[in-house]
Parts: sequence; C-alpha cells; structure tokens
Amino acid sequence: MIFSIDGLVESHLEAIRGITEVVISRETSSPEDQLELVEETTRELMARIAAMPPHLGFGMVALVRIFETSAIASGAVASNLTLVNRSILLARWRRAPLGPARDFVTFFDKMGAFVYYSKSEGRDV
Amino acid sequence: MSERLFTDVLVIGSGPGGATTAAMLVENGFEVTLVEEGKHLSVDDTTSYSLDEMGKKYRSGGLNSSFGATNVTMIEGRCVGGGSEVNAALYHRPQESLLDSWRREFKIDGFELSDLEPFFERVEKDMSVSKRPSGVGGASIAIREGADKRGWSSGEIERFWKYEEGEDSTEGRRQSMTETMIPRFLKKGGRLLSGVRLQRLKCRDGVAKSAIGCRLDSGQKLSIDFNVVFVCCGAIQTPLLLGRSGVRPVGDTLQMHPMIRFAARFPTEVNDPKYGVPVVQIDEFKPEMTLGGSYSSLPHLALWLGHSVPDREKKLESWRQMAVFYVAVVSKGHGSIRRLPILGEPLVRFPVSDADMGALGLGVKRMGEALFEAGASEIYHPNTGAPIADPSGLAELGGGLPRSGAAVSTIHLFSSCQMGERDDCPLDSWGALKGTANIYVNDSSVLPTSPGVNPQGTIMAIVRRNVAHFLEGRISYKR
Repeated sequence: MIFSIDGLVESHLEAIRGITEVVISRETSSPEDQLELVEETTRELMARIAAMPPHLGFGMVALVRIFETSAIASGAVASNLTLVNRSILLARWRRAPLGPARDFVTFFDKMGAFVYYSKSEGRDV
Repeated sequence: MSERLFTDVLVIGSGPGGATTAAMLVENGFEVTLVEEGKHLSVDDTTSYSLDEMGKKYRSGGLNSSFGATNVTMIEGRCVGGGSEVNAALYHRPQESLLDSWRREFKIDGFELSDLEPFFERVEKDMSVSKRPSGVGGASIAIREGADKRGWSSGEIERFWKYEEGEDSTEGRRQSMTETMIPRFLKKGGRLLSGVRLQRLKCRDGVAKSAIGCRLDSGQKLSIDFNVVFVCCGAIQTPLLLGRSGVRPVGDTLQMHPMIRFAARFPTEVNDPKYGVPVVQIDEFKPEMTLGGSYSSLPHLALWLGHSVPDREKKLESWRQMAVFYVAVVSKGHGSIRRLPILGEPLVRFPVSDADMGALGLGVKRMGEALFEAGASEIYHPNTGAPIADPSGLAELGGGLPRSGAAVSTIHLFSSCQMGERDDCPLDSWGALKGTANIYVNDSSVLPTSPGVNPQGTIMAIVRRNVAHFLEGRISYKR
C-alpha cells in the first residue's frame, strides 16, 4: 500500500507560508519584494514534506499544526502574528528542550534557505 | 487484472550493485529483467546537486532520517542508476588490511587479495576511473595547502569520470550507471522496468517463485515469475524487501559513515562550482576519518552556513569566498531496519554514539586548523553557524560535537545483510541467502563492515566477483 499525505500538507498552506516568510525575511533585507519567491518556496517546502516517508511527513504536519496553534494564547494563530512576533516564536522553538521541536525549525531554516536560493538563482533579487 | 511477466533472472534495484549484476548476466546469455522503483533519467536531465535533482532522483526528496539520540539524514538515490547518479563519483580502493580482515573475521571464501584484484581492475576500466586532466578548484587547493602546512598527507581522489581528448578539469562526463552498465544491459536485450515497486517475493520452502508489486504511475498490479532473483535495492530497502517476503529476518547490522558539514570563509575567491565536488581529501586520518570538501553553490552555502551567522545576507553576497567542507567518520554502531505496520515503510534506528560525536567534533577541529593554515578568515560552527575567527576557537570542538543542533547526515549506508560463512551472516561467501535456493543479494548490504571510504568501487568489485561465481556454477565463464 502506498500512502500519500499531499492533501494533509495542502491543508496547512497558510501555516507553512507563515514560517517560510520568517525564513526568507532572514535572507533578504526586502522580503516585501519577494512575494512570488515566498509562494514558490512555500509550495516547494510543502512538496518536500509530502515526499517524506509517511511517518516523518505525518510528524512534520503535526508539528506545523502545533506551531500554528502555539500562539493561540496571544489571540491569534502563528500565521496571523506579525512577522516580528512569528520570528520570536520560531526562535523560541529553536531553543526548545524537545528535540522534535528543534528538528522542525532546523528543517525550515535549512531547507527554506536552500529552496529560496535555488529558486532565486538567476533572478535579480 | 494483474499484469504477469516471466523472466529467467530478476534483478531488483538498478544502482551500482543491480546494474552491474544485470549487465554481467545479460552479457553472458541470461534473459534478465531489471526492475527499478525510480524513474529512468539521464545524467543531463537534472543539474547535479540541485533542488530539481533532489526531487527527481533522491529517495523521499533526500529527506529521510534515521532515529536515535541524534537523527541522521539518509541520502539515497531512487532512480535508474541509484546512488551512482547523485553521488560525488569518487573512487577508492579499500585498504588491503581491511579486505584481509573481512576475509578472516567473516570467514569469506575466495576473498584473497589476489582473488579480488582482477575485479577492481575491471571496475576501474569499465568506469573510466581517472584523475582530473588539468588542475583542481580553489577549495581543493585550500585543503591540500592546509594539510601540507599541518604536515598531514593529502591526495587527489580518482573519480568515475570520462574525459575526451583535450577536455579540461571542468568538463568530462560522470560515469554513472546510466552511462555505463545500463546501456550495456539494454544493448544486449535486457528488459528494464522503471517506475515499478516490487513489494515482496513469494517463496515456498526456501524457493522464491515470483515478485509482487505495482507500476507506480498507474497503480497497475504486477507479478513477475522468475527462476533466480538478485535483490540489489540498497542497504535499507534490501532487508525491508526480504523482511516483507518473510524469508529471513535481516537488517540489524546496518552501518554508515556519519558526516557533518560546515562552511569556511576566505579573503579571496576559492569557490568555482564548475569544478564540482572538491577532489582533494586529507588522507592522514583515514580510514577512521575522512576530511574533504562538498559541492558549494550558493544554495548549498545557504543550507550549511547556519542561520545565526551575523550579516548572513551580506556574506552570501560574496559566496565565492566561501566553501562547504565535511568530516565523515567510521561509526562502530549498528542500526536496525524495521517495517512499520500498515505503512510498510522502513523505520531505521541508528545509535550515533558519544564516540561518533567526539570523532566528528575532532574532525571539524582538524579540518578547521588546516583551513586556517590555508588562509581561511572564518570557520562557521557546524551546529550554530557561530563564526570562529582563529584556531584557538576550535579547541572546544576537539572535545566533541554537541548533539543539539547537529545536522548529521550520511550518503554511505551498508552492511545490513553481511556475507560470510560465519553463522551470524545471512549470506554465504558469494551473496546467496542462506537457507534459500535461488535468492541472492548483491549490493552495499553485503559489505561485512564499513569500508571507511566511498564504498561504490568496493561494492562494484565485490558484486562482479559474486556474479562471476554465480556464472561459473552455470556456464563456462571467462573473466
């Protein structure tokens, strides 16, 4: 039996875009000019999560959901926070005592940067 | 309705093990079907080490991972040609003392150095193993200069690479399986099925009769009847397939070379991606530790530089002054491969030990020292990206690499189904699965232990040896 989690990943588009925006904001001093690249990077990261072995992909989606709702006490999901507050939240996860939380941030830090620069190569960014 | 095929010999997996096995068999008159789960793409269909290549030629997009105190990202090929299509194409012969210890400790028959020599020679000829015809890139020069100044031995590594007359070091062509064994296989009438996933073998009383699976594009079920099967799916998938087939539990002896990467910065440009992967390595600490350079395009530097590097954007603007380097070590650990219920996917566990983390940290320290000797202005901590401005800043790493934030990966997986006459080896001295009549394993799984260097050349030589023995038992075969 071959499992696909494409649909599950797709349902977390907003949350993943929110994290991607934070990652790209670190790579460029003018992230507001990068809307197209944010979208392309987000889509590529979603494709990468969907291509993971199902047990890893499910785990990643679960962590996306936990991250998204972890700011609910402040009255909003993570993707609705300001970019600065989302960055602070992500930095907190980067230092979390739980390994999976740190691995989750490492994935976006590293793959986000790799995808962003892969997509932006040859463009005037 | 299930599709049903028949073949004399079925080879599952088309990496260096499977492609070599299939080509040798078909060239000796066997009717062979070679089945590959991934797609059939040429070397030119993707740019090496690119995002596109990761998506099209890597298993799980290159994002599979083992579990343990430190998780290890496992990079495997999943395309016709397997790992040979995506690796650095570096060729090593293993140390003679290692081959001799394999023969003695695992009781492998016919494994004298003189027995193996012709097979290594044949691999080197078939795969155009060669050094670059004219010079090496800046990162290679830095590695060599740093090693020289430290008084350490270093050397240029040969590659599976073919150069035409007059071509320089930035040209030539990777000699992967799709450039070598696969065309030979097809030319002799071999049948290649790509995009087909075989889930299990149907066996009775130690005899395998057929393989069951499906075509991945259409979902069409497929059954292939055969007389003999060679399982060559790689160190993770081979034990998984045998486990799913209920033949014999294997997979508790997985070994790997844990690797850590980090970036370094120089006052002048050292990075020209057209040279590809740096070919100079520090030999001083082999086989326990290999120090070398990685492919260093802008996206790769962004990947490995570390998120907390001050002025990251500015530094990446002058990315040609930076390059990525690596440390790979021999781990004494043994991992396990288990099939997850329902999902059917492998759960890989590997114990990266404190000793492994210690060796990785020591390796970063040593490589950093060499790079500072070669003029590096900054080394970036592999875990945090924190800049290290002089050799004294490396001292702490000599005590070991912290686990937190360590992005350990591996491209070398092996030894999950070892060969030898020792009771605990599931394969005999020639790759036949003990207790079965017609199942052979012929890929990286069969290596008794870690070779300490890039294993492709060793795998191909042993695979050739095993097929030659198989042929000797069936036809008059001349090496």
